[in-house]
Amino acid sequence: MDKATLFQEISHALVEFEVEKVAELAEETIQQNIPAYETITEGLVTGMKEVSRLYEEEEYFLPEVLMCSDAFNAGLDVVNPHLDKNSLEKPIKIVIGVVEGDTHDIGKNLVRILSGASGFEVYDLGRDVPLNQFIDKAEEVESDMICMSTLMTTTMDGMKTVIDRLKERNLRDKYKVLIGGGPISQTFCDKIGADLYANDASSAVRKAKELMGRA
Amino acid sequence: MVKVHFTQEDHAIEDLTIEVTEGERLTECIRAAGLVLETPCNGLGLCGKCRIKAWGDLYPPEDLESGFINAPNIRLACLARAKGEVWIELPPKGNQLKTINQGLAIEVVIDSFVKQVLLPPLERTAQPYLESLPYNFGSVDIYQKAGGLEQGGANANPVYGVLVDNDLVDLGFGPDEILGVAIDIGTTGISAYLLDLTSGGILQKQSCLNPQTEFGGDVLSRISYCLDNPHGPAQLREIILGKLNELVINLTGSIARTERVYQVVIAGNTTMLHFVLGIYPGSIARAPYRPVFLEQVDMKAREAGILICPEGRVTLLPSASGYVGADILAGVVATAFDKKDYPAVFLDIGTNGEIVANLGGRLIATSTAAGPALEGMNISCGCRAEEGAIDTFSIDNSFNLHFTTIGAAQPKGICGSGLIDITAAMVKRKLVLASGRFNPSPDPRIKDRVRDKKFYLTEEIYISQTDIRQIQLAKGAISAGVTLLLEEAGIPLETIEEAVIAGAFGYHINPDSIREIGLLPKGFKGKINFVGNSSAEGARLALINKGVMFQIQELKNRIEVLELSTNPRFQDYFVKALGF
Repeated sequence: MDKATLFQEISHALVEFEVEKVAELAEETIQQNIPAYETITEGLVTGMKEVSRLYEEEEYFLPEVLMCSDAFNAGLDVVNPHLDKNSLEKPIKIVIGVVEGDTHDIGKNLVRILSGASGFEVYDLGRDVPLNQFIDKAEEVESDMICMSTLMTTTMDGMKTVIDRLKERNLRDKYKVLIGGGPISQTFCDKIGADLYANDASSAVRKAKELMGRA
Repeated sequence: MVKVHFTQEDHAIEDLTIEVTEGERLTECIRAAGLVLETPCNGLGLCGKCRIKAWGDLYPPEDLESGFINAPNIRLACLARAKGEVWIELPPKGNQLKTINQGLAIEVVIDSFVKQVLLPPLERTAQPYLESLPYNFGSVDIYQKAGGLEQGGANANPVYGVLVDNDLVDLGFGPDEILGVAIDIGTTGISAYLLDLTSGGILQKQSCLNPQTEFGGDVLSRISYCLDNPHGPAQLREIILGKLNELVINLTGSIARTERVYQVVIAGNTTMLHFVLGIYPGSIARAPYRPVFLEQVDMKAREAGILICPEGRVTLLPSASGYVGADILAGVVATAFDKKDYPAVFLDIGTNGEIVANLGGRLIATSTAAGPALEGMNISCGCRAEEGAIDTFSIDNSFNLHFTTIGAAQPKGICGSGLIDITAAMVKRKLVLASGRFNPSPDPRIKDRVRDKKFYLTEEIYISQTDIRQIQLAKGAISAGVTLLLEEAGIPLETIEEAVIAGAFGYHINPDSIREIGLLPKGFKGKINFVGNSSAEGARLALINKGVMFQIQELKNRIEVLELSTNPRFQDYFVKALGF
């Protein structure tokens, strides 16, 4: 199998969430001495892009996306040890969490999984995250973005508080702020002065890349 | 200031004009005029259910609003803002909500806290009459009533007193009726019974929409209203008390004066009970979800603001947690669910699905954020269970559609029970696949009705792929909740013999549809029984029988509550439960 076909097969198997087949094909790229970064960017990431598209078009739903991400990780595990770290471009770093007062984190987890599968470096703060922690962690790891999510209308104002505190600390321009979750809308995003709103996990990743000039 | 004129489609309002500040949102204008328009998402611009006719000098719609409006002069009241003179035409007054004003319940004997007793006659002694009686008293009211007896002179008529516990709350020549009112305050609907506390019999029933829906369709949006408005709790209290007092007046109507009502027992979810007392509920809606109170509250009607005998008692039944309320505890006791001698689960399906499991006498409860989809909200053509709502649906073997609507009216939308039937039929006839995805090649006999990932029931009414996804999320949450609850208790699903389904969701759901869509976890083999509004039944039974009230309190202390959203395994079960 030539390289192009191999990448196509990997991408296809990933979209069909055939975990073992993705791992086997990845193994074959190693046998053929194909650079790991090419397998990642042209096979695995291409597959996840297709998964994201299917999700946005509602062809795929959470279970399919999670199974695909399992397949992605299976492939990644095979090629990662062979990866020349210098070959990859500097990843987008994000700090992500569910704002203080809310413990519903499935939506946030999906963004974490998809952004990880798109090559982001993700720092997941979990749920019910104290608001200052978003900023402190972003400072600590020098992230590019702060991503916040909530399912409840009663906690969404916490997002505004984070933005206000960024301003107070003269850090507002240092980070892009991405928000999402059940009650969040573009109007709310504009109102609180966030940089980006996404209404599902897949578009969150796509829009984040666009914003960072990596589309 | 700019002028806003109001009319209503059914001419219930004519020529009403108010002045508002330029830039005011139409929802605010409507409230300022003292009119009512439901805003299910409390003005977030998410649900699109506050569409109204408005014209004149309005700011043009922005993107968010444009997504919901598709005809001239149709705007979303929560987003459109007045620039100059504006005309608003409100929709006709909402149809009566179809609520289940009955439930299956155990039978109990009459043994109420309220009793009428024959008192000794007025003797010719110098000792004050009241002070000769072995009861607690002390209100000005009772003194005045005792004075009234003296005023009547040496009357030969027998004197009767009304006791709540050992408190003397009324006094007079009698006997007369003694009445009680049992109420279930649901987030959407309110149900009330008038009871004869001598016989225990039901004299009247009434139900209505909860007027607080104007401040948001679900618990969270109403709590948000209180976060944004310091007077919110007081406002919501006032509006619910107004409705409760109206119900008491309507119920007693020709039967008796409202003063003959001596006790009101109220069940409801924890947040609704907070609103009855005008308590700020913000902490219920933030982790760790702490309510201000859970215990039973007994207070004088005077203090509660309920217009019955002022010395009478208003009781708020106890709740188990912020999201497992008095409505659930009352329902469990009313249906003797806690007494079942085989493993069973009790479900109350609304925006939050509450689940109770009875596992050999051990009772565990939880609540899961199902979202409002199963109530017909968040669904393109969804609506409440009101006239014209499609409430049953099937597709037969030859792929003909069959459906009914409430009141046999022209179909206007789909309510919860219809939605479950439709989803089940779509799964059964393979219009959607097991993953929930629309089948790209449906059976040729029905494929004309599927266009652009929408299944058309009529020319206007359809179910979209997004709607199916919403239903999957709702049923997945409930199914995963049941699975996790049983796992916590170490009881296999296969051993569960019965699922008891309570709530306004009602008697009308086809149990086969519930199985087909997997609202209960796959592998559930027991029977499914519907008990209707068991919360109202619980309030009724607690009113006529003290023992039932003590049982509810005892249940409150005994029931274990499990928080799902922080459970690390919930997400796995949820994702697994999404398919059909």
